[in-house]
Amino acid sequence: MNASNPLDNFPLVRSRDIEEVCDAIGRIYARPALSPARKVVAVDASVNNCRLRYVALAYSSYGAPLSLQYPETGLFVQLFPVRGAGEVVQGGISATLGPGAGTVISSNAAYTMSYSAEYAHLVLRLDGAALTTKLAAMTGIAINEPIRTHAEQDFRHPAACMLQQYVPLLIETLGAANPPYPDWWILQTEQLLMALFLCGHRHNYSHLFENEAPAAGLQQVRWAEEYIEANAQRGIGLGELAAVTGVSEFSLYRSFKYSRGYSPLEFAARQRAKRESQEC
Amino acid sequence: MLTPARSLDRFPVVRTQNADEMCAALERIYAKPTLHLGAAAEKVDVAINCYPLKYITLGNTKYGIGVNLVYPQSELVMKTFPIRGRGDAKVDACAAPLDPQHSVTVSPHMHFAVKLDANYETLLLLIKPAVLVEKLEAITGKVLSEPLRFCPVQDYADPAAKALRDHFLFLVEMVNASPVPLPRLLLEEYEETLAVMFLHANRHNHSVLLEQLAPDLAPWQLARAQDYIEAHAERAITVDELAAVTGVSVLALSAAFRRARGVSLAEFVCAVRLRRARDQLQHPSAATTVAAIASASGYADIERFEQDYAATFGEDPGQTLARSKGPGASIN
Repeated sequence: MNASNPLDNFPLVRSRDIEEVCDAIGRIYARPALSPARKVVAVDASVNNCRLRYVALAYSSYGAPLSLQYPETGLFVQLFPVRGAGEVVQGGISATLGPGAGTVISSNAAYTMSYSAEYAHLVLRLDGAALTTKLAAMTGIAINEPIRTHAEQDFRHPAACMLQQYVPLLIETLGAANPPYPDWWILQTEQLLMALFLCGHRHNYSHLFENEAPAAGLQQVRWAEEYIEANAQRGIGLGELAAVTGVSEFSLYRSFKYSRGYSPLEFAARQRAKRESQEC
Repeated sequence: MLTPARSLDRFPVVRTQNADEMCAALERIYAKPTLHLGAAAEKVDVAINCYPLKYITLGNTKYGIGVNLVYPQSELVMKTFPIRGRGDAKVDACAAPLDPQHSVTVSPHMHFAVKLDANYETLLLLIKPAVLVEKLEAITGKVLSEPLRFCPVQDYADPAAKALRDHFLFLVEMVNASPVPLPRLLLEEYEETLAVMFLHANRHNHSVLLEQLAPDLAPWQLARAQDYIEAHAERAITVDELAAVTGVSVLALSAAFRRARGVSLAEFVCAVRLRRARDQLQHPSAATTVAAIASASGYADIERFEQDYAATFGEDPGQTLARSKGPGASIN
């Protein structure tokens, strides 16, 4: 048991009685049911919850293997496991939980979570209606169809990575707040959490957050580098690199320059000079 | 505290030993300084990195030798976060230390001069004042009578100052580490967040406007919280529920409650329950017992109830009940 857990200054419940724990969760979120519906011998649960306005940050650990069924809630939930292992099943699709392997739970369907005894996670919960309002404000379009997150998420997306690292930073900041931050400060950070969630996840509106010219990925930059290194004895043009990597010249140039700090042409010239000096 | 591993090294503006090139690069970022070298024979060995965004610019500078720089007035707000070495700054007439424990803020149109040692290196946050003014006016609902002027010196003992520094360094890390540009709309939201944190963390000539507004919930919000507590006194109420009922954040609610009522929310909830319990003990029915009232007041433990009750009203709940039922009542 850790001496101190994230958000300990916002305790919701500390209990060995699972029914008491479920009641407490029910008051702030939705009451889970035990699955299968039998008494768990003993839990050692610690649940902390810091509600901003439309977004809440939580921490929970149960100290016993457990399976909980949640109803449909209207909230989007992202889990950031910190230790142990678990599984979420929603709409027949299963996601494994473990440190570095989180998941997004959609607002429109019931789901079941199972944990190992040592499992603990941070939770980000966002109100569906507030998230829709934020989406409309950011993109300037009317949102008629509700937001639907995709079952498959890419947590290596830069905004997803940023959210992953931002949640612990914000939790640490909130934990150190004495006196507490004013409402206008809290509400701005809440806006940021919603923006991170919208930008970092695949959903039926995520195309609106793509940058104007989609950049080639790191993989393409790496291929371009390898190709330049392998052919350092001759001059290589951008067109050739684009053909080899399968992305446009502009896109490759941009992402190369962005990720390396110099252009592919500068890199090619340097490799060539290096090769020539070795040959002399 | 976060420490910057790589200070925007993916976004070089200039690497030079030429003082003119250095000053030209600084002019693009902030303002063109006049340079005085420590020793005439020495040459600068400058590295300047910079990542411009919509409202703010992230920067990083080091000079390789001791330098004195005198800047003309700039339109921008600049905040330094020194990460290495030390120096001395002068902001208008105010002397300020430049070292990793302090941050110096220069407001628009202030005179700024620095004397830096050879291994001094700093991260910079440059902000267009318009975004700060817009945020401040949006938060306070007031039109500012005069331009923003920030207090020049800050250390990180204040959690708000540390929060701003950590959030700034986080953005530096993110833009430097991300293999592709982060979504534009996301960066704008982060910039706005930094602007709000900037207004909160730095003392300025309009701070008092923000402090006036922080304390109070609207009277209806306080009343609604109170009503809710009274209506649900028989069970444990969480601060979260109250936040939902009043539509403000938990943090703001707790703080506002303490200011308005002089007690914490938890103490207030407890006081409401005890007052209700006393009311029921003073107007009992024949079936009223202390145990039943304790339980109806959200106490699982009757002894705890008796202790709290006695501490508040100076008598045991049993005494209150006996007196209310009167000598005749106990016979029934």
